[in-house]
Formats: sequence, C-alpha cells, structure tokens
Amino acid sequence: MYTFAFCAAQSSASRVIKRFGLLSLAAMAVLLAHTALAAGPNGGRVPSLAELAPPVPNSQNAALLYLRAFQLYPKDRNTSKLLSDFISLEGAEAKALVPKVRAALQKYGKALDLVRRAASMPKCRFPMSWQTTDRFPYYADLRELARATAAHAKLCALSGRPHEAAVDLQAGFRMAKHIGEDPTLISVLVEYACIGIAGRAFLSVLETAPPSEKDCEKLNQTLAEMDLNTALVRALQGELALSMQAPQSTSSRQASESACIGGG
Amino acid sequence: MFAETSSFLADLSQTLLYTAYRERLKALYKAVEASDTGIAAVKQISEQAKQSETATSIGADLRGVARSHYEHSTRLALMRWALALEVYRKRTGSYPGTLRDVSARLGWKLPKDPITGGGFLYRRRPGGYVIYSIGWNEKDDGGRNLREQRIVGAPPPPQTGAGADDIALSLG
Repeated sequence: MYTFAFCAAQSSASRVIKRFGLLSLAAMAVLLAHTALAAGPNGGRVPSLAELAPPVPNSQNAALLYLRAFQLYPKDRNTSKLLSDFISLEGAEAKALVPKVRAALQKYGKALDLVRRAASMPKCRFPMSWQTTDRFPYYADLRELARATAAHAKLCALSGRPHEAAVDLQAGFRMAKHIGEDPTLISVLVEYACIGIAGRAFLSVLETAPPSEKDCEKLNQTLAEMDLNTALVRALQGELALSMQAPQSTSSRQASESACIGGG
Repeated sequence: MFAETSSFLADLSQTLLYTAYRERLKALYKAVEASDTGIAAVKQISEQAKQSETATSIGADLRGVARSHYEHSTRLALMRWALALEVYRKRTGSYPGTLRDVSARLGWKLPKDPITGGGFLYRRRPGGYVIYSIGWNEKDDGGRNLREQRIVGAPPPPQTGAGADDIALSLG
C-alpha cells in the first residue's frame, strides 16, 4: 500500500515536472519564434499595418464612392454569369448575348457612373478592422463591378462607341490598381483577377472598335502607372505584420479593441 | 492543467506555423526585390524552399503567387505594346515589321518582358499579329500556351511540346 502510494505520488510528481518541463520548453520556443518573427526580410523592422495603410482624406478616397456603388447594383448570380460569359465569349457567340447584356447593364447605370468617378480618384482605402476575421467583405462586390465595367466596355465597342469603351477600360484598370493598395496578398490576387477581367475586354475593344490615338495614349499611361511590384512588396510587408499579430490574437480570445484603419 | 497545456501547445504550433509562413514571405520578398526577372525570382524562391523542410509543408504556395505576379505584369506589358502597335497602325496604315520600328516611330518608352528580362517576340499574321513572352520554359512555343488556348489563338508550330507556356496577345 505504502509502495503503491509512494509510486503514485512519484508518478504524479513526475507528470507535473514533465508538464512544467514541456511548458517551459514550449515557452522558450514561442519566445524564439516571436524573436524570429520580429525581424524584417532584410533584418530590418517590419512596417506596421497602420504605416502600410495610412488614412486617406475623404476627398481623395475612391473607396467611399465604391461603397456607394455597392448599394446600387443588382446582386444576382444570373446577371453575374451573363456578364462573365459575355466578357469571355468571342465573335457571334458574344454578339448573341448583346440584347440581354444591354438590358442587364441598364440596372447598373448609376453604379457604373460612381465606379468611373471613383476610379479617377488618386487613392483608395476601405475602412477596415485588421483584428476581425471578416476583413475584406468588399472584394466580391469590387469583382462584380469590375465585371460590369468590362462588359460595358465590350458592349460599347460592339455598338461602335470606342471612346466610351476606352473610358470604361481605363476605369477597370484603375479600379484593379485601387484594390491592390491594401497591404495583403489577397488584395493583390484580387487585383490580378480584375486585371484579367479588364484584359479580356481590352482585347475585344482593340479588335472591334480600336480607340483613338489619344485614348490609346491615356490607356498606356494608366497601365504604366500600375506598378505591380510595389503592390506585391507592400502586400508582403502587410502579411509579415499580420503574421505577427495572428498568434497573439488566438491566445487572447477576447477581441481586443479593434484598430480601425482608414476612413479618413 | 491539461486544458492549459493543450491551449498553450495549440498556440505554439500556430506560432511555429506562422514562423514558417513568415520565412516564405521573406523569401518571396527578397526574391522580388533582388531579381530583375521573374525566372530568377522563381528560381531563388524554389532554392530557398528546398532548404527549408518546414516551409515546404506550408499550404500557402508563394511560388504560385510569384508566378502569378510576373504573368500579370507580363500581360500589362503586352497590353501596352498592343496600344503602341495600334497607334503605329493608325499612323502608317499597317502593323510594323518589327517591334523596333514601333519604338523608333512613336518614341514611347515600352516595357521589356518581366519574366525573361528580354524583349517580346512578335510576328505579323494576316490582318493582325501575335506578340508574346516565351514564358517560364524559356522556349519559343510560337505564342502557344496550353493553359490559355482561347486567349492565344496562334496556330501551334509543329515542334510545340507539352509544356508550351508562352504568354501572348494576338489580334486578327
């Protein structure tokens, strides 16, 4: 009995010691991991999310107009598929969809006006809380508007209106650039998707209603301003900053006060 | 005690996962900053991934991100060339024989191929042209890309292999 009790006590103590040992090893590993996390790619400091995504004055912020545009377009899958097919198809297949696309885009009129205005603005910063999981609710809406803008550009080209088509192409590319201003990898991937959407309309426009010299020059200027390298580097810095914050946020489950960025 | 330990270990594994993810982010960052071409950047990322067992087990495929980045940069560059070719056609009545003619005539500063760092390849076709990057395999596949046949539209040359990966813009 004594032996048994002693053994039980010893085994319990050894379990406690093992657990404490494990915990202290784990603590050391966490400490080391956090130390490694703190260094930037070249050993320097990682910029904070607030530095990477500084507030933008309302007068320069395209996001506020995009948010208004989100309220004004019909959100249904059939329209979305119709526009997507129209952008992708070529020749007679695309022309066959023109009446349906024209009817569908009439519902987008006000939203597209806002998109064109927004796209001409210098910066874009959506109000965002970096500490919630639902960080990017607006990307789906932006893709939808990119599709509508590209479809409208193609429709204008097929209707013999090259200048309007060029204006819409320009809006599509500038909107893609705006999306890439968020310092996250998901934002640059959505930017690439929107470049792909606008790019398909670009080919149709060039083939069916080539823009004037002046419009070609303007479009070239817009494309030249799309610096994907800068966007990717900013996104990687943002991901590094987010990866610092992520493990901490899981250990303290209570939501700490949200650090809202943007809004101007 | 058990709950604390398991919670702590969960946090630890997540921290280590993020550390590995972070190492890959740094590798991509360095590669993009240091490399002049997409090919050099992707090679550098691949070599760093080989050196780190943990990093390769992370789901996020940052090499895929790098490739996508350079491919979209290439598409933007091709679109700029297409606009220049259109302006050239408007001024002269036909598309040029070579890309050098475009720069000389228009005076526009036009981009190189972001993937190879060299010039784009260009061929006139009846009623149009095809302009393209030779892509990641560094082989001229005649503007053909097996993933994107719809966009390319160029007839494949007889010797085109299974890995054709040119990135092209064709008109006409």
